[in-house]
Amino acid sequence: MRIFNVIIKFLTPAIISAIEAYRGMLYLGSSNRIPGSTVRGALMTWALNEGLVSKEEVDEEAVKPRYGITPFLASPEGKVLYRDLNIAHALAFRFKKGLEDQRIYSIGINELIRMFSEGLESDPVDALSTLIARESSVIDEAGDELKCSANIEGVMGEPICRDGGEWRVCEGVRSGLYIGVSIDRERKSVVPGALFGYEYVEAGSTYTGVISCENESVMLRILENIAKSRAKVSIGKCVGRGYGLAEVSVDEVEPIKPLDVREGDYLALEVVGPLSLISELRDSGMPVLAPPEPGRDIHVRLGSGELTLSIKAVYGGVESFRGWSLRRGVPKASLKALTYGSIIIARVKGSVNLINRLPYMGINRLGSQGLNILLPLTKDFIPRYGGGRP
Amino acid sequence: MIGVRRLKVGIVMRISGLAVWGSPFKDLTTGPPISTCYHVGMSQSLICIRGQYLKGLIRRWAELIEPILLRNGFISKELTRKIFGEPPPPQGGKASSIPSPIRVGDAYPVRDCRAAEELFKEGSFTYLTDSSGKICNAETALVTRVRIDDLTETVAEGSLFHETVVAPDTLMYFELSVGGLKIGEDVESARLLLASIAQLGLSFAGRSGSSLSIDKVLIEPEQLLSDNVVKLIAGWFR
Repeated sequence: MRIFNVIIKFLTPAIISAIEAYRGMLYLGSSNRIPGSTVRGALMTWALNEGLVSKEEVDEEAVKPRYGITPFLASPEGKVLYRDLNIAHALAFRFKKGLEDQRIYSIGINELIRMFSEGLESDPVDALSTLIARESSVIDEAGDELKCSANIEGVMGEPICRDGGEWRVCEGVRSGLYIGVSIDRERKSVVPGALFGYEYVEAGSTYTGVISCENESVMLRILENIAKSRAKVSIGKCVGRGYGLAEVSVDEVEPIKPLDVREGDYLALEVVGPLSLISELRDSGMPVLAPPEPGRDIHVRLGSGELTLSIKAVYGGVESFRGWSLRRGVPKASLKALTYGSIIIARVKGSVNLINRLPYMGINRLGSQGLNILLPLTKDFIPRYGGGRP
Repeated sequence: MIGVRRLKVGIVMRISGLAVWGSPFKDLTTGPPISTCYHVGMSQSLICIRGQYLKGLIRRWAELIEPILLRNGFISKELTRKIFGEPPPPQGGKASSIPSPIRVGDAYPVRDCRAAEELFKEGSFTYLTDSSGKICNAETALVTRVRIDDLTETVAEGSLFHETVVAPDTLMYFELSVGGLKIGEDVESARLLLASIAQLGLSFAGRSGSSLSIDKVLIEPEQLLSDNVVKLIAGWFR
């Protein structure tokens, strides 16, 4: 498996649409994140237009993908995902006022893992309540120390960057709103009522993510080509009108240090790419995908090895995701998934070495669409306030 | 490479008269803002003409020119549709989700034609991160206007308003590119696009109907100029 840190820098304003509102008249963007599937589509389209790959190869790779792609996070240049760039998890917070530099703290994943592994708690809600009660007194004292209100806010899902030993929310990208109309070609004037708006991010915005490939993957060929000379790729909506031109650069990187995990251990998994698993099969045989719940197992298979993660607790949120397949020219099935930054506490069984593939290839082939990517954690990477044991 | 061709054209336009682009405010006393885009290199907003406006303008001329070029055997059938994509439904419904091969960038003010040539050679679409002075902000002026009542032939009650206009003789530069072309399609696309761009001098631009003229057109790859028709049309701009 080869791993590439990919940096996207927009040379023109870009429209990365996330929410369609008012019956197609307003498109709100996701300014701090680009879904992995959007980048994947853009790279494949670029490769097709450049003649690097054929349509048949793209179709084959779509059915049997041999790569994984993470979401791309708005970040300063020079950051590498999982090293000094990450997604804030469900237990991360910051003080609303007072600290100019807006450092990020955690309530403490380690404590949660310990509660479950030592059998102190079995109910997810009770476990979290106990943890919050314990941390409240520490946070209340912060108000005196920082001379500010101790009010805190959650930052789940936000891109965060590490500076020294501290994590902060990455500086946001500038955005704007483009208002357009539709022209009636017969009358050569505006179609009545056809006023619409797109939220865009300004030129100069930078996004970083990771793409991991097996040796036979078509995506590997694309990335190796980009590594030789930066590519100009069109990403997002309205590319024909000049939006979304980006310069893409790649650097091959080493994977993060493997975790020392044994069978039977408890660990936390942060959702990096939204997590959705098959919950049932319709009468037609089509699978229904749904976010996992406590009591379910996640199975990861590679060759003859199988890793099982028995879910004990889930903290975070559920979001709906939709999309359009450029390859097939049809909408993608909408699905509900655990959103970015959600935390799962799970017990490990089976081939524990497969754990280290999860941040890169995901748990199954949906990792090639930027879904089901998990970052396993045996200890919290975000410090507790006051420097306590995380 | 699997037999793929691409084409890039850089266009320098000169604005004649006082030009206005942008979305109107409700309050007519303040006047509509000009379209602007944020320039990272200069850390300010620049006057711009949006790419979608230019694409529509060029497309309109391509649709008018296409039958003439087709009749003379210079292009293949349905080339405009192939380059610009499927048009949206006549009643203004949702446009096709399949992106068209053509890409038209926003137009920005440039210092002069030489600066535009340098931008063209540097590689496309670096405008908004260029800090070398080739891109410069356009001069604007605030013009006070009134609306005339057609019946009384005098000023309509309460209809005093202001417009921010771009100064005459402003040079605006933009690029368009077409990718994923088969062998032979690049030459035909160049013929159609250059012929359409040549008609821009007959177009009115913006909301106040200012006219355009084309000062310079740059084309890449230069081998396309070995085609007689492309060479003839390109010669009109030099």
